[in-house]
Amino acid sequence: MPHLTADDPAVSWKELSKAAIELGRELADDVDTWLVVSTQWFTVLGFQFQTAEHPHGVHVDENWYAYDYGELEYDLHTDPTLTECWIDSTAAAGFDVHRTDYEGFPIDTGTIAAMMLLNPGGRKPVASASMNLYAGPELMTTLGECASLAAVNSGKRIGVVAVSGLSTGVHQQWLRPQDERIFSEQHDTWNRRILELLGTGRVNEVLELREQFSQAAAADSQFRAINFLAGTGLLTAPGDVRAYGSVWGTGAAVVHWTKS
Amino acid sequence: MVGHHVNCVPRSTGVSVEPIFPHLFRYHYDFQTDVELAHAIADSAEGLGLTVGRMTNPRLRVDYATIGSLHLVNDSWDIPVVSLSANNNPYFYSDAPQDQMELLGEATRTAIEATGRRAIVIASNSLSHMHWDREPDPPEDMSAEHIYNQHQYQWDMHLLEALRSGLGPDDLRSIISAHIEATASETKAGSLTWMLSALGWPVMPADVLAYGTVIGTGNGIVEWDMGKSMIS
Repeated sequence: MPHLTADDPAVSWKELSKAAIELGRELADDVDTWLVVSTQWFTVLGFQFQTAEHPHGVHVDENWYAYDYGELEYDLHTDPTLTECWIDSTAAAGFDVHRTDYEGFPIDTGTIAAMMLLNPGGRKPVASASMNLYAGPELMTTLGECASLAAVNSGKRIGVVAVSGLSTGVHQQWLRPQDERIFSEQHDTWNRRILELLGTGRVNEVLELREQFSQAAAADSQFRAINFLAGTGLLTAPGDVRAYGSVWGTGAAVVHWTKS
Repeated sequence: MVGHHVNCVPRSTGVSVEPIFPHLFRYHYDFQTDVELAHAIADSAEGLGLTVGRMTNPRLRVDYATIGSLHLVNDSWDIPVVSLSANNNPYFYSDAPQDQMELLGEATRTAIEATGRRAIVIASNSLSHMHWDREPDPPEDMSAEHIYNQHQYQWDMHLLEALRSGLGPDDLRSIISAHIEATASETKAGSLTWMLSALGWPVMPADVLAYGTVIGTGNGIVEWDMGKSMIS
């Protein structure tokens, strides 16, 4: 959600934004390339990989266009080596892969907002892939494994970013920042339960609960981002839950894992 | 995501690159909006209690389905347009509530009548929506193009026959709902319901002009000629 870049943020947006910015600063020296999967770049035929050398421009979000945070400048540099390695490993795993290199291609809000916070100024290159709308959790795990293999094959130190959300109940009114609140108590309870499990290293329990969480709290893209992250092999230690709050009613968090 | 959006930009120009099929659809568009009608629809929708967004940012990319539909219907682009969003998630876990799209249709009809416009109402969505997860090479390889399965085809035919037979609104609502359940139809996003509501749920036979598949999904071109209805 682009709200984390707002000029006049709600308290929760500000906390989430601060956590992401600080995390980006902490990791900057240890990351060669940010490897990004965003649920907002969704596809239906296999996986698409951004291969344009220098995607840049101004992105206007279809829903938030009337707000300062609905119009985002972006300036990304693709890491061609890592991206090609990721394409190769994903194709070798049997997936349909597509290179995406088109002027005017609509980079999604999630990727742009995440990179604005973690990678301001586009200092580090990016490798990004779409999320297939219909890929089951096991396929997302494989995409994560392929990402990890690509990092090894390319020799790059990667910072893996899954741009997703927790519960997705959205308030169906135009809100002022001071009116920000979670959509429902049930969603809040579910979000906190999931974060508690992630924060105590019980990823397998989250994987088991994923479908139930999806049904009960309309988790973003059925929370398959966790399968992708698990596939990278990075979730071996407890997650560091840096922030949790709501964005227009949806559940949002910044969680960081350092590979043990 | 929030509310229903009405494009109120007087002149929309830009490039619409389709995010899923960018290799097939990159369109330079340039069209005029009927701003008076756009605001009238927004006013009417708000009057019915809907949350509305009046989209006035000229840099917003117009979506491919709007552009594609308008190109096919009128490639001279010489008739002004009002484009509306569909606030409905057509994918996983959607229980497909259609009530707001019914209201949006009512608001559209009210605004058209109030402004005295002669309008063509266009809804863009597929019928059955199960599709292949791989694209043939080339994408136009017609040996690979056919319906996803017979079940989907039969349900599409069932819906089209219902539209052809001129059923009343209650029957149509019921069949549309059953079709969504059976085929993961894109009508779940509410476009068809909005259009029928905007037309006042006409009890007249629809003219099914074409049916075909796209990567396995079912698609129809269906017309309700309200002028013909009034003449008869």
